[in-house]
Order: sequence, then structure tokens, then C-alpha cells
Amino acid sequence: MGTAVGTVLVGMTIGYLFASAVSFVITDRGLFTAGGEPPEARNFMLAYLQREAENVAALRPQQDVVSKALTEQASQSNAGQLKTLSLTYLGGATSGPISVQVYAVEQRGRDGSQGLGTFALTLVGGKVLLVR
Amino acid sequence: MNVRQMNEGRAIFMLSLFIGAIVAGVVTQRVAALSGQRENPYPALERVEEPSIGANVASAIENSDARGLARLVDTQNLQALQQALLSPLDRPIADVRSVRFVGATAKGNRVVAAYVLSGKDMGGTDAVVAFVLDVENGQIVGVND
Repeated sequence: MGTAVGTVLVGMTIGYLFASAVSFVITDRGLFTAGGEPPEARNFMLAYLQREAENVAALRPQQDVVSKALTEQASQSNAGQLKTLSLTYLGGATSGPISVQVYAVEQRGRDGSQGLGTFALTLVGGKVLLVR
Repeated sequence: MNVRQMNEGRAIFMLSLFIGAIVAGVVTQRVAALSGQRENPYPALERVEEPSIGANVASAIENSDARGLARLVDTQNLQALQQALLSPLDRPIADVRSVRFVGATAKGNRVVAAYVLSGKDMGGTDAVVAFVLDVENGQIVGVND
């Protein structure tokens, strides 16, 4: 009985570590993840578009209180100005700890004008370091 | 049933258990990795092929072909491209290893094509940078807009 439990534990550990290693190596090619899109990047885009200041802050590197206040203000001033029509993941790549992910966002302003913009996110350690 | 048959049966059982546990480990890792991703509530635009001018710009950057790049992109957009190609440490890329097209989409006659450049910045640090070319009627009309 003890041998069987040990075999299961060792097997599961090997399987978990194997999947982690394979995922780490080939995330860049999008073969083993949901289209190669890291969850943190999608979560950041959704939080940003839905003006969830707290969730945006949680996905950014640690910030001082003034930076957080500025983010909050920017979020409030944009509220209701733009309506997001579509969010399209274009692709990305990972090199060591740095990952870049690109999205296209279609939005409509209050005046009815419509535009297609892009966001290039740079992530380090699961945090969004840069938005271009 | 003799002792040898019992040992074979036990070995087969243990091997099956081990393989099943490996599969369970892989499944657990994938569930754990993907469980934190939120559903996208917005529709996604259709992907389109890489615009040829985008491929030409990418090739010019990859081959350090300044003359070709100057012919393909106007001054204003070259300046925007220069800003887009700064490393996360805000340094220009000194050594371009590769420029790879990752995807494009379109709305009306506007196509946005995304690329990933990898190389080394002026400080010698490995860098990976994304940039997006806006294309209308076969011309570059914006970078990271």
C-alpha cells in the first residue's frame, strides 16, 4: 500500500514538473498554452478596459501611493468616455523572464467616432512593467 | 497462480499506476496554470495575413538596412518606430537578432500587424520588444498607435 502511494506521488510530481518545464520552453510558440497568451496579460487588459483600478494596480509592479492615485484619476477621467467593441490578442513572445504581448482594441467614443488601437505589454515575473 | 505470475501482475499494476500518476500530474499543472485567466467578454476581430510592407519593414530592421527602412517609412513614423524599439530599460537596440511577425488584424482598410524583435540593447542586455505597424493602402501610417 505504502509503495503504491509513493509511486503515485512520485509520478504526479514528475508529471507536474515535466509539464511546467515543457510549458516554460515552448510558451513562446503557443503550442502548450491557450494560444500562448499569458493569463496575466489578458487579466491586465480586461482590468484596464473595464477601469478596475485595483486590479490594474495588482498586476503592475509595486508603486508608490502617488502613482496609484494618478492611475485612479486616469481611470475615473476615462470612465464612460470610450466603449470597447472588441479585444483581439495578436501574439507575443517570451525571452527569459521578459514577455511581450500585443493586443488590438477597437473602441467607440461618445461622439460616435470609432478607432482601432494597439497595446504592447511588457511583462516581467507576471507583472506588467510597460504599456506601449 | 505461481509466484512469478504474481510478481508480473504486481509490476504491471505499479507501472500503470506510475504512468497514470504522471498523466494526472500533467493535467494538474495545466489546470493550475490556466485557472487564473479571465474570460474575454469582448468579441475578437479576425486575423489577417501579414501585409507585404510590414514584412519589408521587418526585413529591413533585421538586416540593418537603413536605406531600405528610410524608403519604406516616413520621418514621423520612423521617429515613432525609434521610440517603439527602446528596450524595457529605455535603451535603443544595438544588435538585432531577429524580427518575427506574430499576428495581424484589420478593420476597414486599416491593418495592424504586430512584430517581436529580439536582440541586445546598447547596454549589452538581452531585450525583447514588441511593435505594431499600422498599414493603410499599402503604406505605414502609424507605429504603436
